[in-house]
Amino acid sequence: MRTRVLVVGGGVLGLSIGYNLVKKGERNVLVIERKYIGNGSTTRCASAFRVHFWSDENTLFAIEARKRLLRAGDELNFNPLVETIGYMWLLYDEAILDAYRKRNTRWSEFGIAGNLLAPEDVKEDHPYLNTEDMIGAFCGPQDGVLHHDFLMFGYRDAILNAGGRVLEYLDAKRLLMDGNRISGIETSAGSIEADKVVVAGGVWSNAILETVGARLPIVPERKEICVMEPMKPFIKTFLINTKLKSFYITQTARGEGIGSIDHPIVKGSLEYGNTLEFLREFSRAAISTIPALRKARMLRVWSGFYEVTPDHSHILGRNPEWPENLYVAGGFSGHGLLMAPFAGEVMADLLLEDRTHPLMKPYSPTRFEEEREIKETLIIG
Amino acid sequence: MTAQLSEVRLDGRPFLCQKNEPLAVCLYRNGVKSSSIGFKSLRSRGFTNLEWWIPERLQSEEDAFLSLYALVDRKPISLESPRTGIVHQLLTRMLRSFMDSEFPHRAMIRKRPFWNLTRWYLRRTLPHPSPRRAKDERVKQTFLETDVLVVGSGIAGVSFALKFKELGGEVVVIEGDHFWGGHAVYDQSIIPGLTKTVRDFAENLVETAKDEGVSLLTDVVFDGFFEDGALGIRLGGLRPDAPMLLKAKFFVFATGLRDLPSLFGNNDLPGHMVASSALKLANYYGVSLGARGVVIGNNEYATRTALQLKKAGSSVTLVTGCETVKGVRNEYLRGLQKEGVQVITGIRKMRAEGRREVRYLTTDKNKIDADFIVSAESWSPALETLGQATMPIGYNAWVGCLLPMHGWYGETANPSVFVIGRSSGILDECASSAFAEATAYHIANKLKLRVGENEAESKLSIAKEALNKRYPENYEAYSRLVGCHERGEVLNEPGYRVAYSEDLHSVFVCLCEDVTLNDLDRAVRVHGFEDIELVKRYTGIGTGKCQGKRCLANAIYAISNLTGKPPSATGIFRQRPMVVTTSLEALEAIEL
Repeated sequence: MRTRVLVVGGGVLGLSIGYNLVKKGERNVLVIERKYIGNGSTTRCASAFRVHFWSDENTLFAIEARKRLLRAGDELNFNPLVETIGYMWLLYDEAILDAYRKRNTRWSEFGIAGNLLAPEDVKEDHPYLNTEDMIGAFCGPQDGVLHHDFLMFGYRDAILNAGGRVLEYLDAKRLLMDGNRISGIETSAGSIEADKVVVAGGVWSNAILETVGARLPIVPERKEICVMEPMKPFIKTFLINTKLKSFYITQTARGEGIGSIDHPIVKGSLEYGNTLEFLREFSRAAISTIPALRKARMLRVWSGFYEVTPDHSHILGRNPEWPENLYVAGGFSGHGLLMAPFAGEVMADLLLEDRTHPLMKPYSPTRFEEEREIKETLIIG
Repeated sequence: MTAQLSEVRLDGRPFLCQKNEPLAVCLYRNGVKSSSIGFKSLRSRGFTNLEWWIPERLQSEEDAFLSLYALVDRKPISLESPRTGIVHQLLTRMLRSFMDSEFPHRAMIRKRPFWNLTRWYLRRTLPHPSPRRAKDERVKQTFLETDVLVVGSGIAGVSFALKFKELGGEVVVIEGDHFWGGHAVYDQSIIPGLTKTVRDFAENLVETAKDEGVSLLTDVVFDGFFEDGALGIRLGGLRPDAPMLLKAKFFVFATGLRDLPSLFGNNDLPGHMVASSALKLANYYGVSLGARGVVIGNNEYATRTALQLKKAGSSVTLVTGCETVKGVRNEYLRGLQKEGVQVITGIRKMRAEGRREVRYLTTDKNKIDADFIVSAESWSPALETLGQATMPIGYNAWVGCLLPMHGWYGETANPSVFVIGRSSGILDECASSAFAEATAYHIANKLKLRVGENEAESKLSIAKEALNKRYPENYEAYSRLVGCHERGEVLNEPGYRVAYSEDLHSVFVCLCEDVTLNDLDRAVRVHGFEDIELVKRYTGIGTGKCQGKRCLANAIYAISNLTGKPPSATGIFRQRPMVVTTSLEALEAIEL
C-alpha cells in the first residue's frame, strides 16, 4: 500500500489534519488508528472549548481554532453541537482575582474580553451556586461546549467522501527508513509506503517516534471524569472552581451533568482505570459548589490522558535533527479537542506547501532546547 | 412469600406502595400501565420491567408522590407540568421529530443561526427532572470483608453459599432486590423430573440457608470494581443510599439472565413487558394481566412463561421468528398441547397495534388480539459487572445469548472472578445448583480449606452427569462454551434472526435514549460503523439511565443481523462503573 501523506493516529487531531489535507486538494491521504477512531483520548474528553489562555500564543491559536469550530456545522456533514455557553471561573483569592483582572486587559486587546463579576451578581445569575467565601468570578462568554464525537465523525466523513482513507484496527509498529528519510511505516497488517508521515498519536506518539530515535517531551497524566443522570438544564455555563483542585462541571445538550476534579494525580502510567478516591473528592466538591446536586445520581465514570509537555503547550511541526519527512502534532496538555480545528489546518499547510503559519512558529519541537518555552498556567483539570 | 404492601395517603386517597419497589409496579397495580415518557420521541413509555435495577424505581418520597399523581391523572409522568399552548406543542413535536440519528446531519438546523435557536429550545424542553432539594442527612459508609462475595441470591448463588459455608469458608451473599431467591421466586413451573416447582426449590434452599446462618444482605448492589476497592451500595429506598466497601478474595457472580424487550414494531406501547416481570405480576403480586396475551420466544423459558400465564387465566399464543420451538423438554411441550396454547412459528414481521396500549399484534401471517405482549426471546447476563471484570464475552447459539467465557468451575480470565448459574449458561435448576456446589469445592481448595484433593473433581463430574441427563442439549451447548474457553478462544456462533417490523422507526432498541432500529441501521449501513463503540457514540445507545442493561445485548444481536457477523464479533462496549446510578451524597461518604 502507498500514500502521499500518512497520519498515524485517528483521533480528532489526526482526522482534522486529514480533513484539512483533502480540503486543500490532497486526496491521497491515509489515517491509521490502532483501535476504533477516537478511542485514545478524543472520545474520553470533557468536550469543551475556550479562548482564554494565560499565554498570548495559546490565546491567539485558540481564537483561530474557535472560528473554525463555529464554522464546522456549516462545512461538515455533522453538526458538532457547538454551544457558546461561556466559562465561569469561581474565584476565592484576591491575588488570583487581580491576576484575572490584569490578564483581562490583554484579552480585550485580542477582542475576547471577559467579565469580572461580584459575588452578588454571580448569585443572581446562578442562584444554585454556593457563593460562600467567593470573592468574585471571571466569565468568558466566548467559550463553550461541543460534541467531540460528532466533530470527529464529521472530519472522518469529509475525508472518506473526498476519497481519502481511514483505516481502523491497524497498529503502527515502527517507522521505516530509507537513508535519512522516512519511507513508510510497518503496521500489524503489512507495511505502508508514504512520502510524508505525521505522528499524531497523543500519549502513544513516543512509542512510534522512538523507533527512529526521535522523542517528544510528553508525560501522560491520567484524569478521571464522570457523568450524572440527565437533569433539567440548570447549570447555565461551564463552571470551574479554582479553590477545589480545579473542579469543573457543566451540563451536556442532553442534560447530563459532566465534570471532573484533578484528584488523584496519576502520572506516567497508561492504564485506564477509576478510583473511589476520585468519586469521593468529586462528590464533595460538587455538593459544596452546587448544594442541589446532593441527590443527583452518578451514571458512569471513566478516565483518559492529558499529554502534558513541560510548558503545557502543544508541539507542531518537525525537528531538523529528525529523519526527513517526519512531522509531529501532539502534547496538547488537555487542549487537543479545542485546538484541533486550527492545528489540522496549519499542519496541512506545512505538509503540502512547506509553509509555517506565523501562529504555529512558536510551537516547534525544538523550543525546549532553545529555551523558548510557551508557559501556559491556565490549566483546567 | 408475598410482598408486604403499605398504604400511602395522598390528598385523602389511599394508594398501595412498597419500599424500594419499581415505580412501574405501583402504577401497574393501580391500573396505570405507562410509567415514563420517551426522551426524544415524547411517546409515553409503556414497556414494563419490574427489576430492582430499573432507573424508574422509587428513589425518594418525591418519586413516590409523583407516581401517585400519575395515578390520579392517568397521565405519563413529567416532573414539570407541560405547557399547553398549541404553538408550543407543535413546535416541540416538530423539533423532537428531528431527534433521531439524522439529527446531526439535518442541514436546516446545522447552520449557525438555526442551530442556536434549536439548541436553546431543546435545552428548554428536555423532559428531565430538576435537581431535588434535599435534607442534609448523614450517610454512613459500611465495610464488608469476606473470603468470598457472592453477587445474586438465586438458586446458584444460595447453593454455592450453603456448600461453601458447610466446607468452613467465609461467605456473604448480596442481593439487589429486597428478597432472597431472584427470578426463581416467581417461577411456578414444575422442574422436569421433580415434583417441585422452581419457586419451591428456591424457597427451600433459602430456608436452609437461613437456618444454616448464611449471611445474606438484601438491598445491596455490587456497584463496580475500582483500582482502590470494590464498591457496593446499600439501597435506601426512601432513605438515602449508603456506600459499602467490599473486600473479598473471590467474587462469585450468580447474577442470572436478564430478559430484554423483543424488537418488533411499537414495542414501547403500554402492555408490552418482559417475561420475568409478567411472571412477577401474575405469580407474586397476583395481578391479572388481561384476557388475551402473546408470548414471543422460541426457548424453554418462553414456553414456561406461556404455560404459567395460561394457568393464571389468560388465553395465550406463543409466537416465534424461528421455524421451530427449540430445546424445549418434553414435559413442557406436552403441556403446550394439553393446555391448548397456540404456537405460531416462522414469523418474519411483527408489529403491535393500539392507540394508547396494546390491542393486537399483526404479523406477516395473521392478526392476534392481545391485551398484553410478553418478550421471552432475547436475554443477556449482567454484562455490566462481567464486562467490568474484563472477561471475554462469547455468543452461544443454543442458549441464544452472549455469555462470559469460563471453565467448568466457572473460572474466568480474571483469577478472582467466577460465574455460576444461568449467567454461566446452565438453564436447568438442579444442575445449576450442582455446578455451584462444585465451584464451592474448587474455591475451598484454592483457599486451602480442609477439602479432599479430588472432591471438587468428583462433584464436578456429578454436576456434569446431572446436566447431561436432565438437559442433554444444554450440556452440549455448555461444553462448547467451556471447550472454547479452555482453548483460549471466544465462542463465535451465529446469532438468531430478529423478527423485524417493516417500519424500523417504531422498533425501539434503547428505551432510555430512544434509539430505534432505524438509527442502528443507519449507523451500520450508511456510516459503516460496525464497532459497537462507534455505534454507541453515534446513536447514544447504552448511554442512558440504565447504562445498557435493557439494550446492549439487543443492540448487538441487531447489529449482528445487519452485518451478518456473529454477535461476539461485534463485542460489547467497554463497561464502566456504576452498575446502578448512585447519588452523590452516598459517594461523598466513601471513606478509604
